Amino acid sequence: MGKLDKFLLTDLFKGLMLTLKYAFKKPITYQYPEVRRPIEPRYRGRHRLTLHDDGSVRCVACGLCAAICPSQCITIEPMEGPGGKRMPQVYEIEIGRCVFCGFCAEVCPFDAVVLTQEFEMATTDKSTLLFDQQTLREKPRG
Amino acid sequence: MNDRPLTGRMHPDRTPLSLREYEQAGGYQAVRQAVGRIAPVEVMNLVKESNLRGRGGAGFPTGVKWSFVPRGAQARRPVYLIANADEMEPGAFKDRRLLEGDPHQIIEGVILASYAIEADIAYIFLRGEYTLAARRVRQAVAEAYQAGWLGKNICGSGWGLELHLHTGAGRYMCGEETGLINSLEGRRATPRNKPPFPQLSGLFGRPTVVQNVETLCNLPHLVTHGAAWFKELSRCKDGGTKIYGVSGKVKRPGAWELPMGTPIREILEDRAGGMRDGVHLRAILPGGASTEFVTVDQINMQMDFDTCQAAGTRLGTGMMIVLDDQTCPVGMMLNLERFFAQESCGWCTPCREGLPWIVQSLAAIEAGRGEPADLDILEMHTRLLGPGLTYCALAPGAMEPLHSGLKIFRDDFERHLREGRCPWS
Amino acid sequence: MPVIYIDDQPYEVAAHHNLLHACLGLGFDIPYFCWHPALGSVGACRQCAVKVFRDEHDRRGQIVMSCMTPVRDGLRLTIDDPDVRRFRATIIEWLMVNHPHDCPVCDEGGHCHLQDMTVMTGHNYRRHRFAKRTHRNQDLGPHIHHEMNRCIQCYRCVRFYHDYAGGKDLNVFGAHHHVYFGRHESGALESEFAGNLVEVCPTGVFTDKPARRYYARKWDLQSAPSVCGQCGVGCNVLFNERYGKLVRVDNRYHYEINGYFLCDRGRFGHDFVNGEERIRRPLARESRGASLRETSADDALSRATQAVAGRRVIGIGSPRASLEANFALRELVGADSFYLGLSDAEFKSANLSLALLRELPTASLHEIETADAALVLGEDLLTTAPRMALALRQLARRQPTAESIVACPVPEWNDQAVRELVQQQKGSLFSATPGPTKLDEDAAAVYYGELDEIAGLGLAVAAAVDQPSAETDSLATQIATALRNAKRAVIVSGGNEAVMQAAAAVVRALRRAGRDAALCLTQPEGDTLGLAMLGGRALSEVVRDGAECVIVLENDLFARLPEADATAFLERTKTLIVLDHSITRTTARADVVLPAATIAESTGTFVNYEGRAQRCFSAFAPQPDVRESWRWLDALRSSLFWPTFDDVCRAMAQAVPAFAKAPDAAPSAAFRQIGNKIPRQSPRFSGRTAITAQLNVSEPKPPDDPDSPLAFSMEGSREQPPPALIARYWAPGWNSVQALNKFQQEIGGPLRGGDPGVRLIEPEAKP
Repeated sequence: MGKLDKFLLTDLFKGLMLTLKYAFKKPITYQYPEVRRPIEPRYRGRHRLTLHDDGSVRCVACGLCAAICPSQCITIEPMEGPGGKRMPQVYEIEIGRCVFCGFCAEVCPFDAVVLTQEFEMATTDKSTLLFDQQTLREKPRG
Repeated sequence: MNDRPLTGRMHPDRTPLSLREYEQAGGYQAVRQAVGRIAPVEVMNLVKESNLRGRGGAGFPTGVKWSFVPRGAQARRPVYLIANADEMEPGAFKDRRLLEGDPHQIIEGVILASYAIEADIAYIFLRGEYTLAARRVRQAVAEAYQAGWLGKNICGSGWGLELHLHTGAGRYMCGEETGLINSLEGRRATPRNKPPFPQLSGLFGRPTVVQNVETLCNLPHLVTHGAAWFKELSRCKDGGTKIYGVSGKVKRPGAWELPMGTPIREILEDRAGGMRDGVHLRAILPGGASTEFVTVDQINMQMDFDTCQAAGTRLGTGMMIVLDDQTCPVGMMLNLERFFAQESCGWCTPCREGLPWIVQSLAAIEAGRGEPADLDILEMHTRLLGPGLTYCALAPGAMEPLHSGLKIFRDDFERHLREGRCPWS
Repeated sequence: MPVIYIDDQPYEVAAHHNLLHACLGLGFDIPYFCWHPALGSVGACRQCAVKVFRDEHDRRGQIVMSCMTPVRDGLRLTIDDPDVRRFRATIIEWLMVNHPHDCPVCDEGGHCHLQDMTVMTGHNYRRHRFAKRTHRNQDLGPHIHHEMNRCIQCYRCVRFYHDYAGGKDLNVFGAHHHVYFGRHESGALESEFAGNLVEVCPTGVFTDKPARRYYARKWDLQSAPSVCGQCGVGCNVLFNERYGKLVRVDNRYHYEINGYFLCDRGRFGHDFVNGEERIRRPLARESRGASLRETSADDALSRATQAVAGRRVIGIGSPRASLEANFALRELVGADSFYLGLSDAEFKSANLSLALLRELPTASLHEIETADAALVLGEDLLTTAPRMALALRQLARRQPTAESIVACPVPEWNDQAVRELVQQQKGSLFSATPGPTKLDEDAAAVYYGELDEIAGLGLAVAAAVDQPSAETDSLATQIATALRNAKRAVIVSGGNEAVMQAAAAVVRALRRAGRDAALCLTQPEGDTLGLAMLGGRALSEVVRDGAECVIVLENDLFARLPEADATAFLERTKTLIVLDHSITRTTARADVVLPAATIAESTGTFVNYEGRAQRCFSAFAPQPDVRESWRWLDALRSSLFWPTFDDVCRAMAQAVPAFAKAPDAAPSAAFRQIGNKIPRQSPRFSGRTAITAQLNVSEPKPPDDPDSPLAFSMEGSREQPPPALIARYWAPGWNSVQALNKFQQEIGGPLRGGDPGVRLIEPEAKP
């Protein structure tokens, strides 16, 4: 940088110009929650347990998602369901600890757990962050 | 002496030779000559000298096989000799002729072989379905006991032999010598790993020699007439005659005793009378189901162990199966492989799982549901079910017709795939 | 030692091994199925293919099965050759033709040898597009679940069950790809060792039926090394827990004792830990006649302390409690008031055992297996010490082998060839029992008689050993000749005094004759011998005396005393304090019941039949009110003397000279590996943060364990722990129990760092 530029504070004015330019442009802030930002197709949000056509969970409680989970926030207790089918008695995700890495969905041999695009899980009560099987079966909002 | 020692004196009406007839025709002369007069080692050396090779399929020199049996004081007793009469190779029916037509001949062979290896107990392991042969051999054994050819102190030599007839329950695996031994012991007919070879640890863990019926039937003549005469019979360097047979669409299917090394053309045309009218020869399995195909241009090949091996196939049992142009080669191979898959003992993985896969693939191709990848699967199996990779020789044997068949009949396979159906159906 | 070249690198290996054994021992990974270190090679699966070369110039090589290839000097091979890799992957592809793809719902998933081997060979994509063959399953009884579709036909199950363990009711049926492993019809498996099928089976055909109820993956189990307390053999086990329930018991390899196999009593006999009979809260009654009510630990303790204070208190120990618990009771009541808690017969037998073991050398199960002759006097071992019976069967199988392979040289690992040579020959195993036992069929000669007749036979054998005579017509001379001819002989006895004395007389006679002989005396319970070593008075004495206040430690007096005596004694007792883990007739009469931890939840020391002190560690922390007995007993004293297990163990070692070496049985709680404790949980342990989230979203602190170098956590050392602290068998790529290969000095040999435990009894006579 030349001594002259330093003396004339050229960089400072360049920066101020940029700021000034944006002052006359349309703002890109989304007015959430009235306006929702579009979500990328591969966005990883809240989990969902997928279902068979008859409404039963596809999950066979093999335990791979719980094993792969880096934050260890999945807990599964298997049981024998109707017809000797192995299925989860308890399937809980402690979403407050989830890092949304998606390993659980990746490792699932039956595509039984998937990550939806839902991200609105803020709450004032931490205990509601434990998603049980019923919650996880529900279709996400929106 | 005639040039058909094994079958020459059989009755044309296929009734068996009685003991009296057999003895009149020179039977049990060899036993009289050898047992107690010649040392057992001399009998073995005579057999070695004669270049007699095992007629069961592998063609191992008989005398050499015997030389592995421990002798003298360090030998663990009893020593066993087993006549392998479990003839189950598809296309083979030579042993049946020998057993039904001349049961005393095999008994004499057993006695001579047992004497040569100093065996104490001998078995004839007979295929269960050969009920006629079983009846005739059983009667012959009883006659031989009565005449003193079997039992204690044969010919005053001080050496004795117990001979038992055992009929199998019908597994192809029992034709494999160690599978046969296991079956005889009352175990599952799975083969055994070698080493130890049966000559050291065979039946009930004792030294055992297993010989094919035809091999044993050669012995009386060989001992009577000598090694030089025996070698003279042949048209190649292996000694003796061989029972060749032909099955398939020929005019006169059957089995004939001919000099070892008779060319295919002679057997096929002179004996079997050529192909039936309207059908043409396409290929031949020269030695039963588990040998490589030979094609029409190899028809002048001499049928002996070395020539067959040089031509990329095996003499096997010497019982040819002829494939004609009216029969689907894929269907024929499916039929063969189905047999082998069925007869796999289930011990080793490649054979147990590989053969049914081959059958499924061939069946799909034959039914028009084949995919090009199926040919790769078949080709892979022919490589990976090779000798040494499987536990015994069943799967490698099963791969031989498939291996050459895939090459020779490549076009037929591809037609099945292309047309989505069997062109012969 | 021969040198073999693997990829042109020289390695020294033992001459008597096969190539697979040698390569695995060197740390190479070769996949295998049908081979098992204890069962030998049969070459059925064709999985362990390697390529050998004729010489250093040979580049083509030949594929051979490493399990069937003997090691020889200068052998050159490669494990990592494209041809052989492809062949091994194809073997897996063939096995997968019919193997169901049900890993997610299979109970074996996560500790499946087939999974490991599939990954090891790199087979991925299925090319077989036809239907799979299927089988019908059988009901094999309450312990073993059968799922035949998963079978890969390695023949290991029949080779273990039929050949190794002598079971008659499991076999292989059918042929070609329909071979079926099972019983001739559904029904409970009859062998005492059927449970080992669970570990012997490389995949999920035979799985642990009781454990199946819990659907727990291996990686989710919290486990700790322990000792089976079901008999005096002291087999090493792993207790595995999930959600506060004991899920399964696995074999823990101990070269000298149980090796690879457990008996079913040890494997399936620990259900009481989860049982409905468990006492989980302290119980107390207001007055005699009132019923027992649950109470708090403090209340129960203060009642007990009051009852004990200033009165003559007697303590009754237990052979199923740890040494430390018995010692704590002895310290509480004083040595004069400590009774052993054994029945009269057990008391005499235990004390005599101790005296004899101090005089004569004994033998571990491994030493029994490798001995040359054995005589069983008076014991039905399949009832009293099943694992020892299995060891004796191996003696009977092995000993004729040694003779046969001299006559016809065959490597000992070539299982079929060896069995073929041996045929029906039986080894020098002799059995004299009051009635037929299952061991009889392995014995060369059997004698049935009353116990005094058996003792008489023993003495006759001893006399015949002393004075060998030419005549061999009597059984005693026959046995004596066999024992004299043996390089190493083992005499097994137990229970009856006269019979034990006779057994000792045989050992003495053999030793006088300059033979190496050992005496093995069975003990009925896990700590019977330890209790005798601690010393105390006979229970029958207390029945005469009676006492004001009695503390019973993990014992049911009705099982030890005649009914009338026990009732009378308990009626004379003013205050009865009982520590136990389950309800018994004694706890039902107690004034205060303190819930004791079971063997799976406690740290303690047990002494097995050979005087070997072994440490058991808690697999999981007991529920809040349940404590280890020594903790309760320590709390009954005016102040806490022993805050941790090491304190009580050290105090015991100082107070009782016989136990001076007991603390050496395993590393103390201060042991750290690179500054870390040893984790009880696997690194893949799942749900740690979520498992109690329904109670509290904050993850609870894992329970402390001041008593052992193990932690109730997945965090800690990742190194291979010392042998006494191995909590699971796992190595990279080896999730099944076969990972054990990586823990042994040589395959099938002692564990790295030596086998755990310490012998406390030094016999006068040196072996």
